[in-house]
Amino acid sequence: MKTAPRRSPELEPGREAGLVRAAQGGDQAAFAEIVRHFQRPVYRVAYALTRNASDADDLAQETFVRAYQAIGRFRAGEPLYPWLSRIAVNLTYSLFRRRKRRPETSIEPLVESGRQWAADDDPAERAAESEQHERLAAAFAELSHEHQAVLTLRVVEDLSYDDIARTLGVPAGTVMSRLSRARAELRTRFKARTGEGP
Amino acid sequence: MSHLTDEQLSALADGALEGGARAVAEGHLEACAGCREALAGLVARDRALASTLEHDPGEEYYRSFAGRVGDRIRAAGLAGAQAREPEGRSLADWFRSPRKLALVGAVATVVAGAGIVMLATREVRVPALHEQKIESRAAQEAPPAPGIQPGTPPGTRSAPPLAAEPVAPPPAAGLAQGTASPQADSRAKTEIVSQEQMAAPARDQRVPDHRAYEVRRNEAGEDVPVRKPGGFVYPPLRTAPAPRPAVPGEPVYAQKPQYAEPLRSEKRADALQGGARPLPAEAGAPAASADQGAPVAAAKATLEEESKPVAVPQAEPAVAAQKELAAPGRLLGLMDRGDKGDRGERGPALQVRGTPEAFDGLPAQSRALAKYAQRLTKAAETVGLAAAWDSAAAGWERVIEGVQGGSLESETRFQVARARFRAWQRGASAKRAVRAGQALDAFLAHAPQGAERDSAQGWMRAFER
Repeated sequence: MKTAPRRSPELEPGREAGLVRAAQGGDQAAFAEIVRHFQRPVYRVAYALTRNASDADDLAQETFVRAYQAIGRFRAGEPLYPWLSRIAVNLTYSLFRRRKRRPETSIEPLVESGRQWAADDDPAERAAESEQHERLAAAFAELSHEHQAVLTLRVVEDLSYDDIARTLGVPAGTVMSRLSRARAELRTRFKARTGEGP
Repeated sequence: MSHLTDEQLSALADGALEGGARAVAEGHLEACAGCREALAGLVARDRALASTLEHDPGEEYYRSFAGRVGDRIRAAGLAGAQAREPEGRSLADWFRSPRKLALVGAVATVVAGAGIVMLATREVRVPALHEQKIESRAAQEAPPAPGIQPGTPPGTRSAPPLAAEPVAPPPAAGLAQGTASPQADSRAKTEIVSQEQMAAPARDQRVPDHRAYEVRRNEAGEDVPVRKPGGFVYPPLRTAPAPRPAVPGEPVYAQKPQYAEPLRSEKRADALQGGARPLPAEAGAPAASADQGAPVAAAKATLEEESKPVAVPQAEPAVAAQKELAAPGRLLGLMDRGDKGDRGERGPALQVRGTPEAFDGLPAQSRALAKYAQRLTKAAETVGLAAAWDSAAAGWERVIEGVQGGSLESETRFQVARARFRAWQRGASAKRAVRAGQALDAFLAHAPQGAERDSAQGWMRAFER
């Protein structure tokens, strides 16, 4: 199954493997370059799953600390981002288990980002769009962790089915069916909140 | 017309359908407005979700992110990136993972259990150690061998001469395990001189060597353990040391005599010959003869104490009873009942007169004592305890006074002897041994020929054994 990722975080094949080997040899500058290259996608995954900037920051940093600890066991030549996103997803699950609660919907990104609040936006449109985002975020928050993870990796990170399968440790066919069920579930819950689809 | 499924729509939106499946789905979309609308809604929802879930904290955040990660790594105490390990795992990883730790624990438990089982079941045999011990002892006690330089530390040997004599082969491994053939070869090739004889004859006289092996030196100067022709010889039993002569003023400790000691064969022989041992209840008999010793005297005193007659109402003179008993026809016929042991063991067949009817002719007091003794005897036969036989014997001894001189005296003494012997059989003690010996002696002194005498003599022989 080939899907073209929209925002591939991968480095050039030779470059990525070289950085990995250098980091495995103790080159901290090489590891810092890996961090700088993958910090945005790792943060995005962490934020999409927690919808909390503070949690996302903590999880993103911890993801790289764990990667630093385990870089010696990583096989150079394999794509690095699925491995990093897997660490981030597992850390998020651990956070959820610790808190014994589902992540709460937050309007914090709307306040912090500013991207959604362009200066020339019509206030009425902004209000409607904001309301739609809130409902969608609420519907997403009601999904299971597995469905949230597969939707985040596909919709937010635009990973291919193979990379999603590598990240979640499931077969590619499972990714397809799980993604289909997650989308259907999201549609159902969103319609339940709005009475209509977006 | 069937519409596209959610999975087909989802895969189509992701561009994951290929080949024929994609062509079929796109053909359906051209013809089906509903599926086109569903696909458009799915794609729009995905975009809205991406927009909802995305968050950009700003460039400043990302500029300092790597530094904060570095700070956290340093705070965690990680010195540097771990080099790639050949096996992919380190020992610390095993102990970091609870699952692997549990696996390690299980393996350790199994290994420890197997070790314990092996230790508990295997035969302890350390031949090599034994050989080492022999060698070290030989090295310490033997005079310097030709190949050993004076002043050489124990256990250190100089190199054998390089020229001339052929070097005997080293003792094979089988030697240490007790196999015979290497030793036989060694014996055939070397002239063996007993190192024990050469080294310390005086010590051999003091402490004889009972080991199965002895160390001998062959002509090459090697110490060779050789199995003795006779094998292992058990050391002789230790004899008790001679008693130290008593010193005035010091307490004297004497070994406690065995309980069977007073019943020596010479005493039994005296009794069997018709002996002169007076009956305990006879008038004028001494309480203890000189050869019986203090235990016998004490036991006799106790016995006499127990032999005092009990008070029975309506007592009649014993003389009248004896007259009645002596009348013709009053004696009961002998009854062949066999002497069955109290626990089922069958002894020689006896003709016992100690039936209840045999004592019916006695005066009331003696009759009551005899019946009481008979009940005690029956009870002792039932329970089989030594104490019960003691009671029965004491009961019969009380009867003796009333039947002395009469025809029932022998029968009564037989009952006493039997009860005393059984008591000693069931619970041997010095006191019971003395009493049984006395009772048997007393019976056999006047016992007529017959089954009872034979039986008592059999008990006496068993007693002496």
